[in-house]
Amino acid sequence: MALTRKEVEALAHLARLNLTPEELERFGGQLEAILGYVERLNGLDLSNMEPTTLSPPSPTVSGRTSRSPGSPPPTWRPTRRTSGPVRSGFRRYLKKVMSDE
Amino acid sequence: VRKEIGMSTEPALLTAHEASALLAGRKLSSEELVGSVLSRIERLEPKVKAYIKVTPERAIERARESDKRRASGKALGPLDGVPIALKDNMCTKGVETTCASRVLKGFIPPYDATVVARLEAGGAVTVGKANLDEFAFGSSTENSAFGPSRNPWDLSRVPGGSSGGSAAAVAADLCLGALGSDTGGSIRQPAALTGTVGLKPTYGRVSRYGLVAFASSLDQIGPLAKDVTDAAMIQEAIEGFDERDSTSVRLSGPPLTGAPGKAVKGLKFGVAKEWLDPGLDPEIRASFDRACLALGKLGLERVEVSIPRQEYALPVYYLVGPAEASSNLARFDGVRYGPRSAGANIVEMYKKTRSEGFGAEAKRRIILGTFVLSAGYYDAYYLRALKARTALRQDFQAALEKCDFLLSPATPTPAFRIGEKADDPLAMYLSDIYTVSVNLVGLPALVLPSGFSQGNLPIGIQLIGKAFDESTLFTASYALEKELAVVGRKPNLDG
Repeated sequence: MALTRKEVEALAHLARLNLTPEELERFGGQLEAILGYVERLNGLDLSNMEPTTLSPPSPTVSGRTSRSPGSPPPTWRPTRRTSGPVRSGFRRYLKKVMSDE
Repeated sequence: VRKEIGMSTEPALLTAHEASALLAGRKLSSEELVGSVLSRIERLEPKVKAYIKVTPERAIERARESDKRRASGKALGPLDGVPIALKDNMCTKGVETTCASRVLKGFIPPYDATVVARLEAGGAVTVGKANLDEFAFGSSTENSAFGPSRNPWDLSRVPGGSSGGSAAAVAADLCLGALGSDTGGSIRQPAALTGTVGLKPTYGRVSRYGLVAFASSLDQIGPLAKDVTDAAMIQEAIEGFDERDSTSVRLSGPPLTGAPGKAVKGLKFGVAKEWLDPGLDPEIRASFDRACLALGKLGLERVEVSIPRQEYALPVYYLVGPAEASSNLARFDGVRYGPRSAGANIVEMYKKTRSEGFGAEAKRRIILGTFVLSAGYYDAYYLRALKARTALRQDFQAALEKCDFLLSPATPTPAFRIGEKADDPLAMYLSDIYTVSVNLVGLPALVLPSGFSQGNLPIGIQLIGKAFDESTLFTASYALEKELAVVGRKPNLDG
């Protein structure tokens, strides 16, 4: 896909960048080459595929344990998974706020 | 003391585990070891340019503290007193952290990254901040605002990237081990090009807290080391659950340092036909074949597997990576970090600060990421890449059901010349062709030296494991390292 100079300018504005005329020219050509390369993804049938946004281990993951060679790695589950950084102090504070309400 | 060491005339040339044993036996002091590394840095750093900043006073002070602990029998761990380098995208309390970018000039973090805190809690002595491509965008360190690092095996060539400074420092014995970060191969590609050992751990194994984010769903910190045993030792010091990183997981089981030396006979390794394209560099292919033969000799069984959608890994990576990077780098706007340029209004101030602060590759990736996330193109590019990422995960899962680990080349060629690919971003991106898929699927992978080219340039081999099964990677890599007998060869830098 070819990007016009105006489109590159608009993207630069969205990205809060000032580009010199030379940069606009150069990046336009390079982005075109990169986008041309990534467009090979269009040849892939992804109709029934869910998107992967993160690459965490699968819910059941193999742990590091001693085992005989060739045997499948044993499975284990993380003992705690959080959806965000939780600090014990914050948790206590949250509990207090909730109980005060 | 040097006579007693017996293995080298300079303590800096020791591996971390050799030094650790000598420190524990009180046959070597940390001050002498760190002093040896610092004097080597003084002598060779002008040639190699591995570091952005060296912290000698701090290092000597920490070394003396370590010696006191060792003398009173209170060593904090095997790395107590061992000099380690840090990639300069890891926050260090009180020490400037630049990410090799002008946009972070003068930024002094008020806290240590978890990996830094863990290394120091184990007594390791950090000697400096190693060079990298700006914000880890690159495969050669040529995108550093401080200029490129040099490959110790041939100073006219790149050491790889983005953790090229860390890899060059390890290869040139300017530290005993280092930390790098790997978003698409940034530990493994420089390891391969410099003849060092590099591990990209399973996503979630090492805390990213305090690592300046590039692509948060791909970034992972890991060791660059002189040999497999050292890599296990450093990895063990930094890994484990951290409540400050929501993607961190708890680990259990025996230590990784126990993995080297275990029996390997009966293990199965998979080789995907997609990795052995007829166009592969003949020297890389020959080295790969030698590694396969060595594994066979050790009693491992080769299994043919397939990663049918391998060819889509690089396109997916160059959509997902820039998309996440463009979001992560939005915070560098002159308000909270680094220098601020004057502008007529706040938007002009942002634009001027960012335009003057970021280098060409950072700008290119920010614009590309902004494009693929923008209305009208999101579904066609970004969402499509995320779906292809799922397809790739399925391929790796199916392949790893047939074997214990996969074996692939680490890079398509040995180290290239500085400037050779600098004006062709796509050619530069292709140097990560064997490494990016591992980040997209979150698996662990280890690169170790498998041979040398006719031009005396190192060649690496990559072992890709099952999620959290680094233990098997270390067991197999250790056996392969012994069988290939490549590790231990040193570049000649004094000529």
